Amino acid sequence: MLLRVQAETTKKLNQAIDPAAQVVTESTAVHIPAVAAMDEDSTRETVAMLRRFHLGDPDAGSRFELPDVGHWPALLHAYRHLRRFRYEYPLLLMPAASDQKEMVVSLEDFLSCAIRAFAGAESDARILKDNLAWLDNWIRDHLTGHEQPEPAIPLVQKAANALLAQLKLAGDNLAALSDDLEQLVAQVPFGSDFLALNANAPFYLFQHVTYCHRAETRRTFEARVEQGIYGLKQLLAVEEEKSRDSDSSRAGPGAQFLDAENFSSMVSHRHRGTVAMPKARRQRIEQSLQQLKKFSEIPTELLRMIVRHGSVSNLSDQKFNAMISEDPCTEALRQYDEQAELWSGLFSALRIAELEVENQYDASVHDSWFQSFDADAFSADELLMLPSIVAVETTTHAAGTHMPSFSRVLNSGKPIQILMTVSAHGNPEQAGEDPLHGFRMELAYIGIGHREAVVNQASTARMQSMVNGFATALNSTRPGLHLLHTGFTQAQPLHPWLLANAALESRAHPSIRFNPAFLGGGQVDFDDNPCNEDDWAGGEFSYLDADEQMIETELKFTFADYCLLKPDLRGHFRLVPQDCDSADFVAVDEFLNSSDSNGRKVPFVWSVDDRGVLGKLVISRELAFACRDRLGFWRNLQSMAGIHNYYVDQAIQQVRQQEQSRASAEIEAVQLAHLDELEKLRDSAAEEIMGRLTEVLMGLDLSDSALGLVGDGRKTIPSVSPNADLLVEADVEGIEPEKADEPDVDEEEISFNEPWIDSMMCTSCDDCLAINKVMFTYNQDKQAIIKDISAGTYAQLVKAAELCPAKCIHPGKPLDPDEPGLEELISRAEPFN
Amino acid sequence: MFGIKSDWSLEVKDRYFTLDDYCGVEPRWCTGCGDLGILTAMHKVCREAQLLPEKIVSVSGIGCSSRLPHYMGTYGFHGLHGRALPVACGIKSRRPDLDVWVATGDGDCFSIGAAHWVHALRYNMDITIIVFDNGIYGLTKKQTSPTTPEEYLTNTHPGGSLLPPLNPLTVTLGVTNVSFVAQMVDWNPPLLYETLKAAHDHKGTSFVRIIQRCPVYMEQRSLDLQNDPADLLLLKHDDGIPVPDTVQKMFKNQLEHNPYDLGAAFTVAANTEKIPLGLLYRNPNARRYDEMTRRGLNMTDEERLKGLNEALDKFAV
Repeated sequence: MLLRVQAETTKKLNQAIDPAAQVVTESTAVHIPAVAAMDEDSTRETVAMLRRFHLGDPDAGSRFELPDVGHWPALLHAYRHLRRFRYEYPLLLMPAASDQKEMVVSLEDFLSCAIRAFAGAESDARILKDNLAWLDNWIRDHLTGHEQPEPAIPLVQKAANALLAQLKLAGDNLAALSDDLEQLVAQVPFGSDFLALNANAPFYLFQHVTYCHRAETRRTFEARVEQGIYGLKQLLAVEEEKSRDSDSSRAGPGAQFLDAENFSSMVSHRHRGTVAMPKARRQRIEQSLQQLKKFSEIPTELLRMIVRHGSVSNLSDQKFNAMISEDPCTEALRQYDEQAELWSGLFSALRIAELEVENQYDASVHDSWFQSFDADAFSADELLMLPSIVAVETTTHAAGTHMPSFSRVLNSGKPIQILMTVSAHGNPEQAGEDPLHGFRMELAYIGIGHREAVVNQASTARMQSMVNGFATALNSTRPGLHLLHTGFTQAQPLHPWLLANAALESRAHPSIRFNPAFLGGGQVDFDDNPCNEDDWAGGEFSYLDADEQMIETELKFTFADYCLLKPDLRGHFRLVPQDCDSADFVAVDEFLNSSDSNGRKVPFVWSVDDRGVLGKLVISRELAFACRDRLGFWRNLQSMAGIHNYYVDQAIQQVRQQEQSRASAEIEAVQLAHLDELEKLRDSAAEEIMGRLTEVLMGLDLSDSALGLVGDGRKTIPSVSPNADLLVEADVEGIEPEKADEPDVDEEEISFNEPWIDSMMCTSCDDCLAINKVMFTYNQDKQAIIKDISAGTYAQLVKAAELCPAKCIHPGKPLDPDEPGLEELISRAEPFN
Repeated sequence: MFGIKSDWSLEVKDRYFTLDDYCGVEPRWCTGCGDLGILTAMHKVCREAQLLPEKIVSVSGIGCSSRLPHYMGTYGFHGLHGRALPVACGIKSRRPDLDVWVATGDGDCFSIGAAHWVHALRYNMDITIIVFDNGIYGLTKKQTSPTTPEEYLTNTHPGGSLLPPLNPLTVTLGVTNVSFVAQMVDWNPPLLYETLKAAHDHKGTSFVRIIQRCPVYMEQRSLDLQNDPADLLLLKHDDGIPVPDTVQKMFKNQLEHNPYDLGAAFTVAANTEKIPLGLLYRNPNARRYDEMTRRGLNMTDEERLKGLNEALDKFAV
């Protein structure tokens, strides 16, 4: 039911496309209306009342207006009329068994890459490129409301047909577009699916990533099993050959007269191969062989989902391989143990097979090892061979009644994954209560606290980050905890994808990836959060003030801004009257950083209503506490990720100080040495100059010519600017033209044997077409190209090159060596090649 | 912010136009004529902007270039000699929603239509004027036009043109309220396209003089320039005509020219030694007459009658 509501919401959002709504009229420009300011006493009284509202006085709150649904956080106002926009969904899920680099790509990236593959040049597939957005839209619209992945090839084909019908092209244009669309469809990988943005998208995405990962592991393992079976069979075949019962006819004529055992007793027993295999070994090999052959009987499932009723809708989907449980975590543990037992026989058989084939099996060592072989002995590769066991739990249960089983999985050390969709602002253990009440329980923190689990707190707003988190957990042999936010809620003014982004930006649902395997550091990956070094993400904002002056400023998008998007939290806001202004109103981000000892400050957020009026909304103390709680959690995360970490900052400061003092000492020493050296040089130079001066004065010629003086007594200076006469070619009065870069002297003259036209320079003057309309034609840009070089003579080609006013025809070398007058034609063609 | 990409808009149009959609009948200009390249560039500008063909009007006077409306798959007005501009201004004043292009020649615009040229520039309505300047009356077979080079032999001046040619750039720049002045040659398609695109994008009257080949009656003038571009001066500026890298190398002489500087534009335009190519002048703040005359266009008949009656009532006795 929930999903149906969500799907309908999205559909309505997309259907409500009204071109007029796209036009942002002047009336919607953000502005502060010009109103007469309140007098001082009224202002003081209004601020006091708003402060009382902030502190929790319901009477004071009732005196002010609540923001309606038209009030949005100021930074989001720009997206108010957004209906169609580019975002990562739908996704193209690449087939699990393909050799594609990426498991998942966005539709937009896929389309642009696919076109580049067959139409790299700018002018290629022009019509298709111009209508790529149309195709994108068509597919997007078609997938709206589809909760399951849809096969991609038929959908792209349908979109292509729809585009052809839409454009109603004819002639060459139709043929060109049809060809290009055919090539585009051919680029869609066989077996790929499209996945639209919906509440279940993270689960399908997880399923897909699991298949991609496990499929490769499974293929490798199957090859190992086959190799093991082959090896064991070979060993038994050799044994068979030694026995009397073997088919002697294969040994050729006379073999029936040979008794292998008698023969064996006669020859030296230095080579063990001639000795029959001990029974115990033979039995072990036969048992292992039998066990390996059973591998094909083990169900080939790669993923098993155990779902709490209500945690995921649409359980009827066959693609969604799920079973229902009242305690998914406990059930997951049970099923894991069951699977481990099932697979342990196979793993031990395979190990025995490989030891036997290598002739490395030592009964004294290995017998006891294999007798007690169980899940604890599984290697990492073997652990990753098991079907991925996934518990899909709700946050309410995990944080409440079922926390023990939740904790048991995280402590188990077993590669069981727990998936949960989370509310970005609510308190998980208090479903139905005021979501801002008390400090929020952070399930991600609890996951990290268990120390051994991979924790992936992700959002549909960052698809690649989510996929990376899944991959990290699936590649690990530890438990995995995935806390996923989708942006789908029952009542919301925003597109779910934008809402998910807003949750990320406001620190309501920060992106975290914790991998305990990286013990040396870097356990917390924090990079997917916007402005992750700052307290809050921010953005530029401009508006017209009451004097109609454009004001540009930067605003922070805080947790309080995010809460304004939640209709059930509007009670925590009150509108500040437009005619009331006071220095006591402080933006939330500043309020949280200030030490307001006397309690005068009143925190607010900026909002814009649907008429574009900018105003302040005072927030309740409860919400301010919740913001402080978010900020505190955020700073904890920063610290864990090494950002603004006290010890790291201390260490940096210490190293910086050490380096500075070391550098200062070094500079001082160098300066001293320099001064010393300078002094020495000065002394020696003075001596040398005096010596030379004495020499000059002793043999001085005082005539004018010897001194190089002209009539006025000035010394002549030779010209140092031999190129001065080349500087100005365009003698524009008062303006110095620049010279274009001269072509490189070393640039090689390029010559082409093939004729070609620099079509970009063609002026469409018809000169060449007048010579031969079959040889030359116009492209889609109505510029000349060579259509069929064999349709004319080299003489025509050269003539066209000579006539072409743009000099863009390059005749190359003649195709027909027997054409008359070639020598002359080639020399005429030379300037154009 | 909020994960929105800078090119976030995914708006698509229901209709798509290829170059063919902007083509009218097959051009009957001479083979090798520069008009063909200008026409192609116009078609490409329309296609790039995906203009609605039924919302375009091309207006012309008389001359070779004035055949252009026939070659556009749009509305057109093949007017009287020298009268393209008043017709275009009339269309724009009553139908501001239309995209108005004017094709005129050196004779049509600078001679018989000179008065209209001056006033159309001053009115600065949102139209694009393209002057096909081949320096000769071609349609009537080689008479001297205002821009015919001095001493050039024509049928009206068999001993050679007597006067130095008119400089349309300095005249244009001298008109009050002028807002966009550019010059280009027809044989450089990438630059020609960029020039027409910039002219079309400009809000106000865009004046583009195109030095154009006439392979029949004025071949040598363009051949000399094509063979030796030393007489051409490429104007460059961030707010000027974008110059593709491949094209830049073709010009030996280049000048960084600020198109907002009218004085510098005059200096460049007055230089008779070097022919400037690019944007000489731009003033996005010049007042537009069409914006003033469109007031009341959306009034209903009732509102008009009411207004009329109110006006007439003032004369009641």
